[in-house]
Amino acid sequence: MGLVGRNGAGKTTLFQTLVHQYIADGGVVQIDDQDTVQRPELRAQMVFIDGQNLFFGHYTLLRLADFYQQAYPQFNAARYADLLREYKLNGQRTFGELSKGYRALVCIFLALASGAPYVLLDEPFDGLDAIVREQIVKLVISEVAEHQTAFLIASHNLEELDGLADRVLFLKGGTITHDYKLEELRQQAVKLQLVFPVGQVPDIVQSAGKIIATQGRVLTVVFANYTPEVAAAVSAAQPVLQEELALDLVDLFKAEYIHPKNEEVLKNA
Amino acid sequence: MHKDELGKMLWLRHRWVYALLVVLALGSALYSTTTTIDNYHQSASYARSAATKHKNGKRGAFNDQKYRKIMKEQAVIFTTENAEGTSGTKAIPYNVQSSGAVTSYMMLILAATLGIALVSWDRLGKFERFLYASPFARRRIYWQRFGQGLGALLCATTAFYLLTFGALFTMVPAQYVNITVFGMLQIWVYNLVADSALYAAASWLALIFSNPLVTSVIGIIGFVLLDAFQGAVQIIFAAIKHPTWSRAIEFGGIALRSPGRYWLTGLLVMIIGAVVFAFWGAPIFARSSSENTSHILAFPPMKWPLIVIMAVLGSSYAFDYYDFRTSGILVGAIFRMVLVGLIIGFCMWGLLSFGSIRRRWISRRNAKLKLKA
Repeated sequence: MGLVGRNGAGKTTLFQTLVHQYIADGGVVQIDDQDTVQRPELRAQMVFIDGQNLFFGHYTLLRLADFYQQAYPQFNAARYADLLREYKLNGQRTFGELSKGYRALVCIFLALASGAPYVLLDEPFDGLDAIVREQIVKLVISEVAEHQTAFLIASHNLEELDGLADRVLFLKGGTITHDYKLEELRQQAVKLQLVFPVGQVPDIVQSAGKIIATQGRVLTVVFANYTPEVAAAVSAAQPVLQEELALDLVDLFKAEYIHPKNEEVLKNA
Repeated sequence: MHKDELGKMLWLRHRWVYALLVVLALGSALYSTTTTIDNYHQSASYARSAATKHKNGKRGAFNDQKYRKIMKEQAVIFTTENAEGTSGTKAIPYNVQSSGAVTSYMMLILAATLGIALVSWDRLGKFERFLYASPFARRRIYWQRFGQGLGALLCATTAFYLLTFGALFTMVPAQYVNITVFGMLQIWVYNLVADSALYAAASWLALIFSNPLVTSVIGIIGFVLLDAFQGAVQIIFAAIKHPTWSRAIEFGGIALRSPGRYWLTGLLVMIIGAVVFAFWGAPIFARSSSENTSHILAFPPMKWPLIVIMAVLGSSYAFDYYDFRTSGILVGAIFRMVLVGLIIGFCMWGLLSFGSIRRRWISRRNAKLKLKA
């Protein structure tokens, strides 16, 4: 599952609240209908590791495992050691000595070895090169396939998330505004490039679609629910040009967060 | 989750702090003991030379009687002979106090530092975030850490006195270390309690202020003001001719300074203080959010009580250091102006703080209303 939102939307805050690092102003965090504050042992089922914001710096990679072993009863030390070996990481090196990419990898190794069925990853691809990103994607996919682990991944890297998540939550102003199931969405939604006669942007475009880009008279519009009725209405508006484009998560993100002013659209049209 | 898993986790994190604590305790014991033993040797040397008369440029005969007399007067390090002492106690004689072995200020500083270090290091070092996210209840984490630190402190204090007394008994002739086992136990117990009380108070302060520097400064100011407050109250009780309360409050204010007097009263006050601070710390830790990791108050509702305490202590500080009897009207007037200014200053600070608390509260309330809507 992906968690998408603009900077400051509250993605990291949500994660920190879920794991009880922050105290919620209201509401409860539940696992299987049980409050994790009342039953703190349930937090062993959820792991959130933000290496930049934890104490890791001066500890060796093996020592970090000792801490997690005490906190997570299901922690698999052998698996963690295997992962370190597989990626040629020396367990005696301190976390602070590692590059940003390897630090991110170690955090994921710890999360996977923790045995927690719910893993929260905050910007796991941030500032990483393509090879490390690919390695992380590979790890996540194999973990989901082999251990049925559920991931909640907050990321700005929507291309990467597009291939990983089957469900995406949109966070806006501290609230989940949309919960998209990507497969369903791909069946229902379309992205169209449209050109209408001068001075006209039909109502159907503004009511059923979201204009994510304008270039001269060319509008790029995302229709979240492109029903036959909507398609008929668009055709009835007699566009000069109508072309369907491939829809991805970035388009959904733009549709959610970018709203060109009507005047601007009309002027360009 | 088992308790020992949490204990192991905390031990992994803090064991070097504990090791350093014990090393520093032993180091300071060694230093103070070396000084005491050196004093003994100097006294012995002086007594020896005084007992040896110089006559016609030649060394005279050694006068053993005179030597013994001087040594008895000067070189006795611990004694129970002068039981009343100048402080008037039978429990711990004055000259034991003055030797520096009764209340080790170094141990007190170490105790306070340990309290601040454990809390601040975990918070600023972001270990606390890991603890909060771990499957342990916050109160359990608090008590486990507090208990482990206390255990380490008790070990360090015990090591301190074992080394102190051990070195004295082995390196100074027994007749000059004239203290009973009961006396040593009293000193040990007294210090265990004093160190624990300061450790609990420092932990409590660190939980509120987070930043170790701010905590230390506030702690020192608070300690000095508390001392002044005790002095001021003592003056009041002395003025109304109530010596019993005067003495009791003297000890309640700053028992650490005069352990020879009112031993049991002091012990009791410090135990109560330690318990209050320890139990008060638990809900503060349980309600702390990692959002507050800077130097600001981790627990905003504490601002007002702190302002009131500082205002009272500040006023009494000024009161304590002003001698009304010998000063003129002008000095009196200036003193009152300073006092009023101080109180107004605290109130202004309080109002400003209240403003920020109120703004934060309104912002949170609006956010909640928005969520409900």
